[in-house]
Amino acid sequence: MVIFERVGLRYGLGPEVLRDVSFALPPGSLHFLTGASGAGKSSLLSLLYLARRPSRGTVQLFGRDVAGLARADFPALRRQIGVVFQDFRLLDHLSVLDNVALPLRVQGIDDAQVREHAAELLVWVGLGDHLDAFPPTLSGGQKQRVAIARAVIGRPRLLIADEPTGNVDDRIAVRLMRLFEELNRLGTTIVIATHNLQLVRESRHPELRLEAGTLARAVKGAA
Amino acid sequence: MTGPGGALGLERDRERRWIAGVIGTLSLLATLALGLALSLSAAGAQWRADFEGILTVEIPAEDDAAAQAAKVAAALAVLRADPAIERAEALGRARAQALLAPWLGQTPLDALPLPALIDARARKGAKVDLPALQARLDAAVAGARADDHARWLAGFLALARAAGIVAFVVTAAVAIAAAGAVGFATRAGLAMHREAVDLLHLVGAADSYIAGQFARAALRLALAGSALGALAGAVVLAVAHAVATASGALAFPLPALDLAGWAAIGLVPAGATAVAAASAYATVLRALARIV
Ligand SMILES: Nc1ncnc2c1ncn2[C@@H]1O[C@H](COP(=O)(O)OP(=O)(O)OP(=O)(O)O)[C@@H](O)[C@H]1O
Ligand SMILES: [Mg+2]
Repeated sequence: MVIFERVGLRYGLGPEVLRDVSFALPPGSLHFLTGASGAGKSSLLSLLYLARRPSRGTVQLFGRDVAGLARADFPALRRQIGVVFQDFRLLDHLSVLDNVALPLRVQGIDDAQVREHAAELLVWVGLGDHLDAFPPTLSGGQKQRVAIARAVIGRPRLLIADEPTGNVDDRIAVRLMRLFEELNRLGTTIVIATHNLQLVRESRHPELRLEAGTLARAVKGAA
Repeated sequence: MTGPGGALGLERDRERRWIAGVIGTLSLLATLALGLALSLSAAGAQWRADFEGILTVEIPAEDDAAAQAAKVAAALAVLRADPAIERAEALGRARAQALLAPWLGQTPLDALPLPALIDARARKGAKVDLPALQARLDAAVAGARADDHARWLAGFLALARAAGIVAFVVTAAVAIAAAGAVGFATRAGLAMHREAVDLLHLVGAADSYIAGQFARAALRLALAGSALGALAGAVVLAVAHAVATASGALAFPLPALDLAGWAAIGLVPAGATAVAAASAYATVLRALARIV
């Protein structure tokens, strides 16, 4: 599903924030990505969801080398990837429901069907009575759950979540974790970046640990 | 609730409303140019129809009225002998005076020797061979001059054509200016919504989807602006026509715009809107191809 080989990333002329990162994510796996603040977790994920290309090394996604992709190839690949951004990136002028519906709407998928599906998902993440609210009126944890609903509405093959439990209490964190495990059981490959080491310890899933831009040797049997 | 059309919320932006005013003004200009050209071309067509088959023969002014009458009779004989001519009548002195009145004023003309005029009509569908007729008149009557008004009409038709070309150039210039203004506004909008545009890309939007959002917003502004501009232009044209014809100052009939003419003016907002939407769409595609 995903293969990184000796990947390096630098922003502009700055230092490399990722160095020699190599790993593989088999289809249907769930991995945690951990590391101190500034270790490069979000940067690594941005390579996964095709926001950037690596400065060196190769990234393969769904069996294709990212370096060989043309601009026109991106939409189809990105539609197979769901992302929960660390800063949510909700559109403030759209209602919660419309934010969640966005990934399907940009594909031109029928409106009534999309609304229904988005509403179901919002009920699922516990926001059933906030469908018509606008993001600026939501709490951090509520925004996070909207972002999660938006990430999964397109039934992605690969789900990338950057600190998806960073703004919620433990009870909701556990519930969201169950949600991810449920999706994983249904076949979605998942990467979750998190600071919540307890969450990682309680889970049977492998951990990738970043230390200052390099991948420490895999813990708990990650490939 | 925002429908699938407004993912970027562009319809809320106040920053680009000026584009409606620019497109409205440009539409007003195009409407005026087009209306003027259409009126002149309609006038030309009407005059061409009015003068179709009309021939005038002028016998020069002469002190000796009897000699002039004899020349008129000789010219009438030549005209009536032409198989292409249906009928020919000498215009009386009163009629000739009336025709000259606009140029000479109401001064008593009794004392003045006037040229005599003969009005001839061609048979329907027949073509009078003017040089041959003139040659026969030359042989029979000294100084008689036949005129089918073709030269005068050709002059006017050339003027109408020139007005048409001017209208075309003005319309083209206006379209280019409109496309440029919309392109400028669209680039500003793209910069303003850069984060949301990035997000749309990340959730799988194709460039064409984003371009469509901007095209739709430009279309809405251009439609409002150009409809108002064209309407204002139509009012100006109607008032100008009413004033011009009511004053009686025109030496010729200027027909009002017909249905086809008004329909052509209706195309101004349609064209302006299409130009604006196409410009926004192309601008976004070009700008996006340069980023990421
Ligand atoms: N857009 C950017 N431009 C320049 N440098 C950046 C950019 N984004 C991140 N960096 C730098 O890259 C390094 C890694 O940042 P990154 O956001 O990937 O860390 P992180 O592991 O996600 O941290 P956190 O746990 O705080 O979210 C940091 O030194 C940061 O300053
Ligand atoms: Mg981060």
